[in-house]
Amino acid sequence: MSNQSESPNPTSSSNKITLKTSDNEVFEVEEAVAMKFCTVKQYFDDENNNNVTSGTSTTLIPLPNVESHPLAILITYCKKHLEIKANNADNKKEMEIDMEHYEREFLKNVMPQELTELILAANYLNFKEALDFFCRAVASAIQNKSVEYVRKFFGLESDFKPGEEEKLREEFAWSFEGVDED
Amino acid sequence: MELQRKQSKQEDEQMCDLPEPIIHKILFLLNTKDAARTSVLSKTWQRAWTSFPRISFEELDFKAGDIEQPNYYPKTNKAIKMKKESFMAHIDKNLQSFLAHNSNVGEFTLNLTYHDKEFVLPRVVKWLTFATERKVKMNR
Repeated sequence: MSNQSESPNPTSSSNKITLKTSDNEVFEVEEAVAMKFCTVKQYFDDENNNNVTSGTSTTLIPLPNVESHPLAILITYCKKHLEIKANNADNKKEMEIDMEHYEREFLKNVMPQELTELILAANYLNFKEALDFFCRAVASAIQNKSVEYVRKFFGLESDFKPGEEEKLREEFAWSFEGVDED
Repeated sequence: MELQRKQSKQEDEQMCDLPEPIIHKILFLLNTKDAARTSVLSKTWQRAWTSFPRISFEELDFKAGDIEQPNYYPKTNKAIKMKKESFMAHIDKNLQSFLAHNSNVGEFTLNLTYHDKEFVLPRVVKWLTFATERKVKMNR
């Protein structure tokens, strides 16, 4: 692993891209995975345009707004996403079923607080499929839930002035009917 | 030291708040009732609700779908009428609030089954004028 520079690989499909997180962790990922992160792709393309002749096959891309924990999860998700897509290249329906199955299993291992972290990371990386998936997961988790439950879910605290919240609750009283018990 | 700790605590709290475009993305996936309730979560969510470009009024949310009948008890009819009134007052109030905030409306949904034309029609015309003036996408 340490002597990458001695083994230049001309096929772009196996090119590795190195990502460095805000907590200084370094991830080496395949180009196909990194290119799903549009922010990385943009950076990569700009770099390539600037050094057409440099011929280096490894690029280090800093991600100052992403920590290693969510990035590791996003990389796993992305790999699986590409794998499922490749396995069902000619069957969209099968692909959707496999993806749904994977996403259901995936959510079993994700804590609510992590979901917020993942959304912010996916948003920064501009990884659309993941962002859509996490937003859907959040929406279905908070559906018909009380304000207290949802605050806990997001790790939020009320920042209203005294009286403000009561006024809002009164105004939106109609939306509080029939919510689930906590 | 104390200041540093305070700062990092503030950052932590900010981390919990999602950016407005993401909150809107989540609100689009919720029904009107669930979406409206999020405005009570925090100031950020309340602001996001105010600028949310989908207006949707569902009479079901107000249980205002019943129609008064001559053979009902007067009490029942009165209750039905009150629910309808409160639903329509809610629409009036919310549209006024959208006007006040000058929000961009992208989608306008109005779901009602009233047969009481004289009572409802002038108001519906007013609401639809509001919607068409803003060139919004109409759902019903």
